[in-house]
Amino acid sequence: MSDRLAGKVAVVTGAGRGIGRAVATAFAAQQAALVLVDIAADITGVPYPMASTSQLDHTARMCRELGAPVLTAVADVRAAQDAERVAEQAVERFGRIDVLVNNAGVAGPSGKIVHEVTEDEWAVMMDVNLGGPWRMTKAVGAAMADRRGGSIVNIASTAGLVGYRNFAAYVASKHGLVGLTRAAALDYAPYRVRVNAVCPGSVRDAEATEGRMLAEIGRSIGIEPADHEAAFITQQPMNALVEAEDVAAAAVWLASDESRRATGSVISVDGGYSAR
Amino acid sequence: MSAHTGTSDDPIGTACHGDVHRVPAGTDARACRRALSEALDADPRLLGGGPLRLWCEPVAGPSGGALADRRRDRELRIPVAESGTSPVRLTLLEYEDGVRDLVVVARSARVGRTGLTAIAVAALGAEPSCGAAASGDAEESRDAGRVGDAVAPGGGDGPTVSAGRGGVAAPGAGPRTPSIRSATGSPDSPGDAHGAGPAEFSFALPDLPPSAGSARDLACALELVLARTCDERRTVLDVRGPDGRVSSRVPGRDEGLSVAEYRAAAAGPHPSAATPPDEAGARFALTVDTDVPAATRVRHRPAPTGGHGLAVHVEPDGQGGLTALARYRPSAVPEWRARAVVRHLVHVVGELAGGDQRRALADVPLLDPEERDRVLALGRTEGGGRAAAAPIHELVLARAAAAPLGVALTDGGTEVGYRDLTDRAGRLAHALRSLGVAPRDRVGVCLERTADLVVVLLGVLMAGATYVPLDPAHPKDRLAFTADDAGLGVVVVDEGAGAADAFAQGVAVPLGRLGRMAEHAPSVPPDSGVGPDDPAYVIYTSGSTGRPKGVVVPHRNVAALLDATAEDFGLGPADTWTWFHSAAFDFSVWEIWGALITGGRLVVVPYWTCRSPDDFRDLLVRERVTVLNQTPSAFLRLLELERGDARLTDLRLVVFGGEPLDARGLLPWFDAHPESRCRVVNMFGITETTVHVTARTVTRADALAATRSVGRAIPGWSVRVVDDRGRLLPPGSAGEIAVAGAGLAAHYLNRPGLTARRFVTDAHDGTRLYLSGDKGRLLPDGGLEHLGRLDSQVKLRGYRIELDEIRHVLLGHDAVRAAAVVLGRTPGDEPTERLDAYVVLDGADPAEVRGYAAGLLPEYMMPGTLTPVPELPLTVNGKVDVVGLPAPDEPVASAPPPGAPADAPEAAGATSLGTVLAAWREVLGTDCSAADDFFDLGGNSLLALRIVHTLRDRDVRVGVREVYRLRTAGLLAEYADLRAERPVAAG
Repeated sequence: MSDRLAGKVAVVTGAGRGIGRAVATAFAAQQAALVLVDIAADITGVPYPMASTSQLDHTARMCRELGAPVLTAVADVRAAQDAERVAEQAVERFGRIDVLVNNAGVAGPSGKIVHEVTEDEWAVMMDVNLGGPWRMTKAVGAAMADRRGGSIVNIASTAGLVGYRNFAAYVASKHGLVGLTRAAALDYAPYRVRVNAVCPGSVRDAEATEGRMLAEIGRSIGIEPADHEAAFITQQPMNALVEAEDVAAAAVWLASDESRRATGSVISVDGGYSAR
Repeated sequence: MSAHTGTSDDPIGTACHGDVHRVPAGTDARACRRALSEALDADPRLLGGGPLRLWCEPVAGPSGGALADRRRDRELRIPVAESGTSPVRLTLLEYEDGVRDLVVVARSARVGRTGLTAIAVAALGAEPSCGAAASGDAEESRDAGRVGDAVAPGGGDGPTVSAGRGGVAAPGAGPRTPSIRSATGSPDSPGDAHGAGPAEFSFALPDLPPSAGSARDLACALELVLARTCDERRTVLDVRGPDGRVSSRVPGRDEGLSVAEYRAAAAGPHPSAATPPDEAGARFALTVDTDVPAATRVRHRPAPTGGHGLAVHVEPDGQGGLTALARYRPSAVPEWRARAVVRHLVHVVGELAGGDQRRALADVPLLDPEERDRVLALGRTEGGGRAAAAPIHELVLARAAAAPLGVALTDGGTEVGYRDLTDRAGRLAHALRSLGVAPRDRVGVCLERTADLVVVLLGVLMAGATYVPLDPAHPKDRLAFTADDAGLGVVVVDEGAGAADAFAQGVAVPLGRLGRMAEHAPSVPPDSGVGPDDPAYVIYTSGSTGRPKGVVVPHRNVAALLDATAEDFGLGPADTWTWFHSAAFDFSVWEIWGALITGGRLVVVPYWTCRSPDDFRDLLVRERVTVLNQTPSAFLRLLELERGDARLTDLRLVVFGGEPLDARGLLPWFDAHPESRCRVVNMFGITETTVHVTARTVTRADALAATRSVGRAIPGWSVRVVDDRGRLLPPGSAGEIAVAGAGLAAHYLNRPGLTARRFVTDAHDGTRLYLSGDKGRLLPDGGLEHLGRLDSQVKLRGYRIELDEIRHVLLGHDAVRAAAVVLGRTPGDEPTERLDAYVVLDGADPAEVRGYAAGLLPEYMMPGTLTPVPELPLTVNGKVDVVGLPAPDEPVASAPPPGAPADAPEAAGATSLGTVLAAWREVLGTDCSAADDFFDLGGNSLLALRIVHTLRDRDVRVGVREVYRLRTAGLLAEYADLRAERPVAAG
């Protein structure tokens, strides 16, 4: 049995589906206890549905089948009091928090040239993708620093490393998250709290994880749903899309003590996309 | 995570304990909550002051499944945060089959064990069970126990309860191995830097009732186990009894008491241990709870104790007996050791509680019979005895018959073939007979190392006599003593050699005369008249004390030695051996007869070549030697030459013997000579056991790990480790190495008393044993760790110190190639008694090595001096010659750090510093500055006291404590000035 995260308590945001679900189940398989967080409601201004409570419960069930103790929490990372409540509940239920995976994020509203992006579109993107990780970090950081240990894993994107046409707000938010990662890593380094980022490339929307981000990105740039996988693959040096499990594997490593001297690092899991 | 080695099992405040209770059918979360709410109204302190909060969580499996079992266990390990709103966490696990468990976890400091029970009773309405009463309730709890805890061995109906309350089953009655549930890492505290967190396993004590008496017996038993198996100087046992009181004790060794007296004494108060050890591996804990748990309880998890290498928690099992959890830190106490301690505990507590009460404590066995057998088997290597035992000379004759023209000996330009060798020896045998030598007579051989010496040795054996080798380089007194002690009527000597004077008139027979007598004798040797059990040689060993004693070794042993090793080492006619060691040192028995019995070629190394590593290496290269036998000290010199200029390419086997090997030192050897081309074998042995006892092929891994293992017994030999009462010790415990098997010498010559003391019969199994006087420890793989001579332990200022231990630490420094540590002093002056270390350095300065050692050795073990030497002097036998070491350097005074005005205040003179410095110089006998460290200057507690007295005479008041604490004259003077309320000297 694998026990790379034995005894660790991990909070995963955006756990209802996609990469969040893959991270949650990978952590459960490595013996972590889990606090699964999702907004489980749609967000005004985001042109596609968020995960449902049923999807969050399904992730929880998958984790429990792996033997993990699980606490689910419906919370909005845009709200500071929600972030604090999650942290408080996690500590009441599991005694402490060892790992925070800031996975919740949105890909749209996107698809416009920069000067056409509205105030609201810009704001919601920043609020979720950059403000969310900052609020969650704020909610757990002090306790981790007091305990002299912890690992924060920010799920950024290749959009945190390079630009994408017609994705200004998204790219800016993910670049911002990479910046937050590096700054927080330095702030927390003396306390042995580590902060790292994973930058996934184009992740396939798998049925098991019910991912839909690639479809949304495709839709926002006008690619037909039936064609979008093929369209993205042509961009990939390895001629294959990234799987959510590939991203989860990097998160497991960063969450575990195996990476105890890695902080402020930005790890690409993109099939070589950003290497060009 | 943090890299500091833990001083606590609980680095993040998770000192929690918990219970799992099976919820009665029909009780759901709402009912639980309601019941708790009512109870909380009646007793607001029920939950330790926290609010009522019940977490409900589904479990994806039936209550009896493995997943449910894991889930319960994990829930118990989830800590309650100190910062949380409540010190209690209540979780309802809801299984797929409708069964529920209530898990109550609490911070142990806020809610005790009875508190835990009270919460469950309040939530579930259960009452504490009443032991193993055969009521329906008890039956139920038993079932629940099986579901949850599965502590009872076997899968039978109900728990195994053997007859006899208070008496653990008699030895042999059923499996006595404690039934162990799991050995999973405990994830409720994070691991150390290497991920090695605490681990645990549980075991059952079904026959001990939950009572104060059992608690006392368990404490007695564990104390006895630790006293027998641990280093008594360093071990502490913390015991928390049912009353919650904690006592710390250093496991004692008064084993003269009877069992009854010991148990009675244990009931009284225990003095607390004065000095807790700093190593977790030496600190043990025992907690015994006797409160009977609630009937619904299916599992309990006790709170961890802090800073213990091994902590045992004992509590009622709800079935009238006890169950226990052993928690250990694998980095301090490896799993096998933790399990061994538990096994001994279970056995000894049964012996104490159920055995003969009038028996002396010393007679209570630590090991159960099964383990005893296992330990003995571990030290024994089967095999050997395949070849027919035959006298040595017959084995050589067989070789000569098989390959008469094969070269047996090379001595300079001379070569002697096998047939030639046996012919010449045969003729000599006749000559010896004509001198009156009869079978089983002892014949002295005192010759320079030449091919002739081998011929004479073989001739002596062919005459049926026993050879007694005498080294002509030895002092005459010693030669005379040996000849007298062995009752030698004939000693073969070199023509005109001075050594002949050592022997009585008519005893010394010059080799030339013997040769002339042999000239016309037949080459076919006479009937030797001896068999394999007759003595082949008597070799005198000096030991570290007392006069030399002759060790009588039969022919059979040498045959067995080659039988045990020839196949493994691949020894055969293709090999070329060197004969390096004096015939009076038994390593030569291996060299000479090892080569000749296996048909190899033996190259004689002249005495002066032995003393010159360059010449010796030339010889090895020239003669294409394949098998080299060396003491590690002698080999080190050869190794120096091979570094970067590997010429010994024909060597395929290096055998070390005679001295402890410092495996680390072999790294450069392996760089030049990979293990795949030249095998390196370390052998431990003693003259009394026929050269060798154990063998270990040394690899780079061993060198990197600086292994002290000398390997397993060679086939036919066996080793065991016994304590000072001759009782068998388990693996891991240090004691005296005892050897049995094919290599045991017959006896000491003319020393029946000594023979009876050292060659003993084991009271248990009747095995003949040789008590070696060497300290060692059996490893779990059957390897033996050699820890030096028992008498290398010295006592210095009240501390017992192992010189070998210090030496080992010094050798741990990369630049130290060899080291020796001796107890030195100015004659007649005890306070100057100190440890003198000598090191052969490669690139570091002594101060660096001193600093390194200071980081690893306790202050009382720090050598007072550290003297670099170009090489360590060796004795005739190639071992370190302690007497030949030079006078030690003065204790090192460290240079003041750059820019430190070390001498500036001194110039002022008016302050205490001048006085203090003067006192230091007088007492320490060395020049020093204000910044020199007291200990670097060779300081110790007595010298500190002298300084204090000297200063008091001069009106400067300081205490010994300040000398220790402040450590430099500068700081001490400053302190004295402040204390005297004099103005501090302006710096």
